[in-house]
Amino acid sequence: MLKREHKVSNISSEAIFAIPAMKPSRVVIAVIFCLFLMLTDVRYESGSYLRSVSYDLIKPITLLTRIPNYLFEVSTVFFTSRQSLEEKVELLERENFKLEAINNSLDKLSIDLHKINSLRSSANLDLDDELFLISKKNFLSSNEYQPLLVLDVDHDNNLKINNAVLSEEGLVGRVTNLGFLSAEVMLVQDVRSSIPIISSESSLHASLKGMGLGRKGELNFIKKTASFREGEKLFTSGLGDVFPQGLLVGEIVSISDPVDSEFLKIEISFFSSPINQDYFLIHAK
Amino acid sequence: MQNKNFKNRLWIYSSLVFAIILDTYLFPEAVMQWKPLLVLLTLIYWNMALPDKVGIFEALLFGLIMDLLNGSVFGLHGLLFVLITYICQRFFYQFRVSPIWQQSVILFFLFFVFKMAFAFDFYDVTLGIYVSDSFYLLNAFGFALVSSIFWTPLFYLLRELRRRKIKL
Repeated sequence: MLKREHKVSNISSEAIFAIPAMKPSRVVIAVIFCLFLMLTDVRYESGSYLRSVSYDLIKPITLLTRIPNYLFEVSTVFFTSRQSLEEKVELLERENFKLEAINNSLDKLSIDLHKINSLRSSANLDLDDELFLISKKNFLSSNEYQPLLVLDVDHDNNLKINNAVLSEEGLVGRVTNLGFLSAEVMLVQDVRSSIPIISSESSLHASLKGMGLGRKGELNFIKKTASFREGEKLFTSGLGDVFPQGLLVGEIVSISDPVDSEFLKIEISFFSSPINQDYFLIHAK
Repeated sequence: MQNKNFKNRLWIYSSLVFAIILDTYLFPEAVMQWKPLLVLLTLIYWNMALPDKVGIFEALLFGLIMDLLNGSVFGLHGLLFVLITYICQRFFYQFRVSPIWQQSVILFFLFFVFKMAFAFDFYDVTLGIYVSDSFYLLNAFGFALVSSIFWTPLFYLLRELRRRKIKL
């Protein structure tokens, strides 16, 4: 028997633990090392730089996470009977009919859009240097307060840090790190996120802070005399030159007046949720 | 001997990587906050079953990988993994002989404390999130409960793997 290897019982073939537990000095060194990493991350964002590089390295792991979905789909198809397939075909035909109807209405919409674009050009809005890139979701972390969305991007794009990320439901977040083949996005729900917004009806400016994934955001430092209304939609104001102006962010769901605070408590429901979406637009400017 | 050691480590590391894959797999929003942290459960098991093969290095390594995947403060998972691993190994004489339901109860408290460590906003301590958030407390309770429930099947599963594949 080698030193530090535990013994094996001759009766039950179970391991008999007769070795000392891990050395406290090593634990202390590991703890100090972790604290050092945490401090450098909080102070100098070292973790962000490391993450942007390492996403490319750990991409195989994230690809492996797609295997359960794939297996589920394959097994579903395998075990589906012919009758249910026929039902499915019938359902799809009906869906197709609906889609054709939607297509017709989209034609009308594209005409409207064309009109809006001509209006923009007549108003001399500088949109020449703006570019929207479609990007696929790589993975979303389950971190409740600081959720991270990682998108697959091409290495030869002209993306920059702080580019806005959008979905069809509105603003999703902004790019915080760029790797060779991936971009890390700080979501609007992130507690570190703060977005300058303007309300749709009262036209008041404010700063919207995220409170975590699956939670409502809050408007910061709103005086009690402010005339925000419930149900008002909020758009990016464009102040600070990080987010472009006019992107839909959320809606006011509740306004309360706490007695122990000199500010109103205004809760916001975000429109975009990255959980059920696979593709996003990156506003590269 | 070296070949045997290599194979043993391969099985242990494979199970840890498999646990990470399941941890990073995206579930619906309602489930996501309650899903158990399988990589930590797996780490605790190997740490107690084969303490000479799985120790601080593995706890630190997989903790830092979790930090990278999770987007938390870099080093926080590593720190908690090391501390929990140390606690489990320090008291493994008491822990290992106790019935499985008692082990689950102990793990419930450990996982609850683990989740509460993430309630602090390290980037903005003064204006950050407070532990008194009832929604978060509920989530932490659910997370610890589900993790402790998962300990029993995972324990038997990994024990079976150890008996079949790990040659001492």
